[in-house]
Amino acid sequence: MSGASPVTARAVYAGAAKARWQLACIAPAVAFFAAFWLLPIARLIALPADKGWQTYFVVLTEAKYLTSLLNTLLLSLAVTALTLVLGAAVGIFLARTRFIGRRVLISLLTLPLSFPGVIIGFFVILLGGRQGVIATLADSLGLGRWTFAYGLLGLFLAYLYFSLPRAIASYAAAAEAMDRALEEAARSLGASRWHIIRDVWLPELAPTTLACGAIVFATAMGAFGTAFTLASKFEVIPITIYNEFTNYANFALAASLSITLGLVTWAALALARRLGGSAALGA
Amino acid sequence: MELERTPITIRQCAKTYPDGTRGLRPTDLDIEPGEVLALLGPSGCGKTTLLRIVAGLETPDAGARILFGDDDVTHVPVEKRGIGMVFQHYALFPQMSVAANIGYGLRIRGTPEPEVRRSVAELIELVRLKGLEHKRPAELSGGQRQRVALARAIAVRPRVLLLDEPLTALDAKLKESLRDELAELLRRLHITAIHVTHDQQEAMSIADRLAVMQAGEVMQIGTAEDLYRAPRHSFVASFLGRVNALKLVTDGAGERGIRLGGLWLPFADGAGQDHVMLRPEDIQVKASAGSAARVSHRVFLGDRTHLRVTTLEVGDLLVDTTRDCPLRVGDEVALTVEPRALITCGDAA
Amino acid sequence: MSTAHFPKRGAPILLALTLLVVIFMIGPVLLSVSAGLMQNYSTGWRSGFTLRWLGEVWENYGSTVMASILIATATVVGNIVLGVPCAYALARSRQRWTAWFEELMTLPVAVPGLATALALILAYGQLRGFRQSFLFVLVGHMVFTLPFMVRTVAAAFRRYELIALEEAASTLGASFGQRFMGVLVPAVFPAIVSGALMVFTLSIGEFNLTWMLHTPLTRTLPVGLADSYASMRIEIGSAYTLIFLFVVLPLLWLLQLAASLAEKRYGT
Repeated sequence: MSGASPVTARAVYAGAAKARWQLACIAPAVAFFAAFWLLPIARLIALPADKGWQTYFVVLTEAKYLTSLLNTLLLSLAVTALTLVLGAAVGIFLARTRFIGRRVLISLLTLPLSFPGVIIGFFVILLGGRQGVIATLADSLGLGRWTFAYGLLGLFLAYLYFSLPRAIASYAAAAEAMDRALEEAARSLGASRWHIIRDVWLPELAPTTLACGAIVFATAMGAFGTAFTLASKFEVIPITIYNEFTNYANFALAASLSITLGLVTWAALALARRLGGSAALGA
Repeated sequence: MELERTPITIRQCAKTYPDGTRGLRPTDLDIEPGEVLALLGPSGCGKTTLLRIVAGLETPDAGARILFGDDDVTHVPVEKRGIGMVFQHYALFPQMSVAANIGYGLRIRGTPEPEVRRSVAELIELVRLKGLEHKRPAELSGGQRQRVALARAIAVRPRVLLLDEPLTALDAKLKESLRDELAELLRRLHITAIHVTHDQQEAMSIADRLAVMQAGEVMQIGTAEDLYRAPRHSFVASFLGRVNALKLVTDGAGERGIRLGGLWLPFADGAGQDHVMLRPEDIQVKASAGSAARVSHRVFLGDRTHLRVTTLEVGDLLVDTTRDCPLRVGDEVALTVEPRALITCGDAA
Repeated sequence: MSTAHFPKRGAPILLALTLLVVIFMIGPVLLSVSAGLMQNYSTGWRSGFTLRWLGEVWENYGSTVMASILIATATVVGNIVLGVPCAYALARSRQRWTAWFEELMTLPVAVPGLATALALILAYGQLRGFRQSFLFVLVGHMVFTLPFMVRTVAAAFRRYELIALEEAASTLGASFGQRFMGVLVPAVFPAIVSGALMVFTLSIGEFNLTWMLHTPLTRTLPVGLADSYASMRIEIGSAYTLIFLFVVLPLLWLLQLAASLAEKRYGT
């Protein structure tokens, strides 16, 4: 009718005003992000081209970079595997049993999430360095000062240390949310403990496992502080990048390696998000 | 499909929770072989607790005994009790197909594969799920999932079938049709079953006997008709159907009875009682100008009409009458009641 | 309601593994704490208890503690100012590009801190004043933590009850500013606090990015730690770690308390 015209005009105006407000809300963040990440990263990605586009593939063409990448991949995969198994065991145990101080224990175990990687490297030095506890113990038993902190074992233990809290937290939450009725149904059908693990728990925990595994893997790939503190003989790619940049001032190469590393970690996390939903970010 | 018929004997089963609340008082129950018993009551009455104790999913307080036939299963874990259980939300294994779900119990017992396939096919036929063997639970409707849950529970030839509010998760129309299907299936299988529900219609259609529970206690057991016509507790009377609770008065001659809109109903049997119950469908109404009773509320429900009639002597009465009742709000009415319709219960209202 | 649904037979393995993991995780912390209080690490407790290492650490690195706390606080504040309105816009907007932006914003988390730091140095390294101030570190921290704040708060804004609240306020005549500050922000307050806690935790412990971005005058706590581990005695490193644990952990615990209080009082 004739009354519709001012109403629709008002509605359109309101819609436009809303859109303006939303734009005003998001603009500062967009500006900040563009200025301090998007554009710098674009510049970074373009940098290797200065030395020729083959520089982008230097990680595949140069043996020492390829070794570094493979080292990091293997280490991260091994750490992820062990972390998932241990994390699941502890997470399920903590979710299922009740005892005094359970909550305190859970917060203690997830505490290391706030530690910088360097501290964990230091812990490994305390344990396995030349003056470390294990060295002193071994010495007193007549086995000589066994030092493991600066080799692969030390690095592996350190990586395990910062990966476990995330797995424990994820699995404890997931185990808490497991549907009891499924387990009871299986038991009423006569399922043994092994059947329950295989047919009820594993399928139920599969999304958490994949999501958590991807995050642990990505974190291990990009970890720098721990390897830096341990000055490990086993070179991982973040250290390689750091060396190229600081010691050899090889910006283009550092950029190229960073891009490679960035792609690997981004792919892993994208997978996590696809499979695990909101658990992937920061949980 | 012929299944074993096992009687269930429950003696002194009680459940006290760690924080002190009594979920179930010491209860004795005998269930005949092949009988379907419904545990009926509001939430928190202990019916699910009792079911889970019989299943072996909860442990009763010390002194309880549960027997399946001659077998004392009180301390037998749920995996070994030989029960079949249908859960409220079905608990179907999401990663397995319909056929895999149904065959699960048989497979983990090591039954040979051809035998498993044969049983599964038989059951799929029985619960009318033909064509859906390879679907996942997520692809099925509520009614279909319920049938899979049932088939899975029966596949292992349990001695006892336990159903935990199996129809609660369904919408009204579906509930009705599945109710009849379930009733027919249970009858055909002749299996001893315990069925927990808060829906009286469900209980009445499916079960042979009903046990009405309240606050952890069985108030009365009997067939639906016995419980409805002769409730022994006011709770049972008001839980099954609706009732009017009326206070007995004494007339000039010292006789006890009910005065209803000019009508006097003598009631001599109620020694020690001061209330009687009257079902709404036992009250006849018709228009009568000048009467003190008046219709104050009217709800048309399709096949019945519910009226609320306000009287001087007993306040508001619920009256249940036919679809074609011509009375409207404000009409003055006369009431007719057969004296036999007054029910007395063992306890004061 | 009933708890130990766990089959008794499986428990010993899980219990053993759990104990092993607990010892592995907590042992080093205790070791480190005690090492910072010993006279001499190689001789152990026989050398005696002392506070001198703590004193030395405070002399050399004390400023880093304050620096870290200030940067973390500034990061939180910056993220709230930028992130909360951004989260609102993302939650309400129906336009395609905002969804893309939300995805894009999470990239700094996926990409290693090194890459982000390199990019920042390449882009702004020439601006001396900026490069050598704490602002440079702050910017790095904010870029990397912003997605956490935005994601958390946007999820809260998306909840159905909030849309209804906003519509109710509009029908009562509230302007945008009134709705935003008076209705929406209080409603998502628990999410903001939770996001702030996450951001604070991440900022305090951040090393990868900060190590590349720092100068000797703009050191944070983790950077100082790395420095001390590399160049100083084990006792000093331990004492410094002790300071980290005793300063940071209570702070985090307090923030967590604040978060759960906020949830209780303001949660819908």
